[in-house]
Amino acid sequence: MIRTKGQKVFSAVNGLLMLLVAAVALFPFLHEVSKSISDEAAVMAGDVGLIPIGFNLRTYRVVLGTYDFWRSLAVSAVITVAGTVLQIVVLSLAAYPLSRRVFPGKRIFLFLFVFTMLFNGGLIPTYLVVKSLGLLDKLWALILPGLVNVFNLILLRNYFLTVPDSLEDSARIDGCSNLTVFARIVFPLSLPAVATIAVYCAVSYWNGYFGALIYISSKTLQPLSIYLRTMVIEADSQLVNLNPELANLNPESLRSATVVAATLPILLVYPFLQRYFVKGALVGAVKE
Amino acid sequence: MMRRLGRSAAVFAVAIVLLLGISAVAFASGQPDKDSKAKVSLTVVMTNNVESFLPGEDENNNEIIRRLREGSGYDLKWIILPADQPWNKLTLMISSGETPDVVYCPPKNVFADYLHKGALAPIDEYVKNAPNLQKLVPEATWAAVTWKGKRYAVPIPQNQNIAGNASFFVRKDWFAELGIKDLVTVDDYYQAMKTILDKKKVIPLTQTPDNGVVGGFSGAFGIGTTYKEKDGGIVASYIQPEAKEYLQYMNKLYAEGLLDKEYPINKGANVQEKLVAGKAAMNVTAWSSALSINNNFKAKNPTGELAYIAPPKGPRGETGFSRYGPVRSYLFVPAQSKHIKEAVGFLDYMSRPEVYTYVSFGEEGKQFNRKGDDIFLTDAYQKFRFQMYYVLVDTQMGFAVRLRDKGFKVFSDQVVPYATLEPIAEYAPPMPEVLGVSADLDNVTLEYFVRFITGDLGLDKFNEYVTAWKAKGGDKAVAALDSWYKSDFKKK
Amino acid sequence: MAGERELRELRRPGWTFRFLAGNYDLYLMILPALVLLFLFNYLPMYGAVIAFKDYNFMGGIQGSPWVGFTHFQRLFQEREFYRILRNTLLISFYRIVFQFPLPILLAILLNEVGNMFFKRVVQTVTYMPHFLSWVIVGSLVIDLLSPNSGIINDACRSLGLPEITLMSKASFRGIVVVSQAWKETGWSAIIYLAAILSINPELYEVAIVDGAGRLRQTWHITLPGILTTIVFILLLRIGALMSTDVEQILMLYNPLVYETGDVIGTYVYRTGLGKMEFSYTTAIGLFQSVVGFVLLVGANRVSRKYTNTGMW
Repeated sequence: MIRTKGQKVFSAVNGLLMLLVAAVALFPFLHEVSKSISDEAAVMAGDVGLIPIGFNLRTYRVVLGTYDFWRSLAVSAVITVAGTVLQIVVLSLAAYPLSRRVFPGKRIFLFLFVFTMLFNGGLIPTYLVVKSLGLLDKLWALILPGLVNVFNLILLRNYFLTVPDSLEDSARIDGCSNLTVFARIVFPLSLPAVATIAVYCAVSYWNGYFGALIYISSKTLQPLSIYLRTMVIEADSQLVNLNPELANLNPESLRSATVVAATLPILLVYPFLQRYFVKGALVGAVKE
Repeated sequence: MMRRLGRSAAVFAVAIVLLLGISAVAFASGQPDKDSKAKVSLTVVMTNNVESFLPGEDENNNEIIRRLREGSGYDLKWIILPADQPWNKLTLMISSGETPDVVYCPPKNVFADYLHKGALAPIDEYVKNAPNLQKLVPEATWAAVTWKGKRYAVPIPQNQNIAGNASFFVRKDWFAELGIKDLVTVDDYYQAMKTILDKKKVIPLTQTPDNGVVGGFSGAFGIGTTYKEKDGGIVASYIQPEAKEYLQYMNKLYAEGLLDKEYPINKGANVQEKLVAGKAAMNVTAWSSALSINNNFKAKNPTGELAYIAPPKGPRGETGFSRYGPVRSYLFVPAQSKHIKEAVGFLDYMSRPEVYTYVSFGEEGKQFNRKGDDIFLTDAYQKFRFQMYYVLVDTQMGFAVRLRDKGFKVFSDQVVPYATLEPIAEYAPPMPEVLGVSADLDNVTLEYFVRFITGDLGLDKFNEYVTAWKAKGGDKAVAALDSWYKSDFKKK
Repeated sequence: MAGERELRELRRPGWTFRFLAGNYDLYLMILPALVLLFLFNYLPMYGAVIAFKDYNFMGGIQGSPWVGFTHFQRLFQEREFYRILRNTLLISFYRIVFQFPLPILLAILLNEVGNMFFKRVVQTVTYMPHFLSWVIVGSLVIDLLSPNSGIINDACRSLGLPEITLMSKASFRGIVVVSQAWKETGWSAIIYLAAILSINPELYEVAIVDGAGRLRQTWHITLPGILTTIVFILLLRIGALMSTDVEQILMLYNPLVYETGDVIGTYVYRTGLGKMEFSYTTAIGLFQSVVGFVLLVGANRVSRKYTNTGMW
């Protein structure tokens, strides 16, 4: 493709702009990484910018050194993977009928779903329902209540709407059931949307905090977010009964280390899913 | 390709469900002791002390709780509240029917809230048969938990007054350098701060806004506690004319750059940062923060020196910081508990000297040794850290030993002499008029005082503050405290 | 044309029954989601009645007495009500005007980047701030805007501009909106990037052949192509007009800026700490939801009329 001068200039400016945006976005995280490996006194003095001062892995030793850390990491991983897969399955199955032109009750269903985005019953009734289902202190309590995320549902639905009807029709003429049409045609063509909600789910489940706070009592089932936050609270508070490892540890250094430890795994999700963010499945499929 | 996708997705999904099932079993909570027999089951709820257990153990499975179960004769179940918003969780438990039998609750206003919602059981008749509890809790302290003639909790007596509160933590080396000698009055302080600003070009005093009142200076002007005795009754300190004097003084400090410009937005971490980095000279620091500030400070400034100095005296010679109230924590029994009698019996058991000594320190010879009247912890104690979850009855000795053991004593000793003001209101019973509005009143005070100090609002508008304060129920609170003071307290 | 066969069928009597018989699998597909929705969203909704009761958890929801609109009256009569209402609405409005277009712009620009690797890297990096909690980003903002040592004010001073600090009533709302844009733009762009990918590339090829430049392509192809998504998100924002991101403001505010920055959420948090006023907080939440709902329904109607798309 021959590019005009205008296009070249535009590309260059755009590239620079993107670089700037990326730098601005990267800055807070780099700052945290830098603080987490810097000398603690320097961190407390606020001297640390993007470049670490000194080199000190004590905070990481404290954070990563306990059995509890790795267990809570595993718990979070299990919740994240299970929750994401389940949500994708349940929501895309539900989104397909909602995207069909003809589906009696569609508008009612849509309304029912959207209504819950604005209204909810509150803490105590939800807790009572979870309890009566026998889910207290079980990992399912962290997965099921938020599973029907209407935002993600509508996202999927909107994407399904863009799949040309002609494709669906030709499959139906061949005698496929709705489920088959969905699984063989609509779903595979909607991978960008699926990947999007996969990212959203993964992040949401990974960072989930409040649910674990009220539904989980066993220490063995605590996810990473709770474990790390508890550690930071301890370091921050002025309890006389400090854990000896945390005594004299700068809470800010500790917090930076927990941020890095908690965020790094989930940051890897998007690059992994990026290959689904591609055009192209549609090209050549529709021959009017 | 699509078929493969579908199949691999299915395989994946099955794998996830399997993994989930396996982990549900693997991560299942530690099995409680199978030693129940026909014992009564008691659930005890404790706040989170963020200690970690030895691998393989948890709050219901370790040597301490096994000993307690044996010794008390009850099948104990310990539940630890989350570190974040713990009382939400407790309310959820109670409202869903999982009523615990004993709750360890430090904040007085939370205790009062549960009390006035009818959630607590009166325990007088059981306390009568609890000799150890009676020995532990002085008669006068029970007043703080008595409502309409009945007692609704076991008040654990305060043990932290041996540590003091806070004082001015200053750069002694700069003081020496600038020839600043003993500061006695608020004017002395003012002059010293001016000198520091002129000569050293650093922030003389840095503070966090807290609830709008800076300790040390507040004590100097006679408003060191929220409520105080005046003219034979109780008044609210912050609406008195003395409060205006305090605000005038602080406003002057701020206007002249002697108080940190960022005072309204400072958080604890900022203040520590400034001290450690040598950007500020003074801060009113609690003894519990001094240790880590000093350690980090020394790492960065080996030649510098941070130490406490005495707080100033105000125009009427008043000075000092507030002491802690008479109750350290409230142990209450929810009304819906099925074992109120046993719960109190258990608390009585925990108040036996040999039991609380064991829980606080471990076994003599193993985790601690006695030397005369004092107790010294051994290295083995470090593995015993989780004992904090079981310390329902924390004595002065227990606190003192930890204070020394962790290195805080060096600092707490310095501030103890200055904690002289009694927080009268803490001795009062849990009155809803007082405790129900304390947060609101604090919020109003914070909002207005910060604005007065920074000059955002002129002191001529002080009455606006008083009106807002009254609108939140301040008058009723004072009236309730005043009548209690005149009728009950003075008798003692 | 697509679906015509079905549309013809519609006119035949007994159509619905035949449709259901032939397409019952559609209803089965939506069933799991409906069950979960019922269990975890609708079942607990009965709890919203405590907004009209004086809830005491000891008596349970049944046992608590009715008080009608008392809690709502209390809210409307609070000294601070007008202030928090105004601030909530204004900040939400500023967010829509300023923050809303940015992710769309970012997605479009990013889409133009030719180099795959560079594009992916930028994509990954821009959403990073989303993961940091406001505790972290907030303290960064505080540092940057520090009157003593913040680099932003250093720059202001050297350029002769007035200082911008978190203690200034006038700047606070702007700071809130800008800092959230910094944190969330990259993340919000993801959804638009995915939407752009749903646009048939042939449309672009045809346009290029017709001689359309980038700008015209964007205006005539990209934007209409992602219109459903844009409308969806916009409608959501309108529905959320009465709510705000409380965590952010809690981190950044202080008494000097309550006048312009105190919103409903922060007010409730500050005054409710330690108190168990479930009825009151539920009533306030209900108030916010109802207003948001009314706005959403209205906006949805407008959107269906003018753009043919909507939430339902």
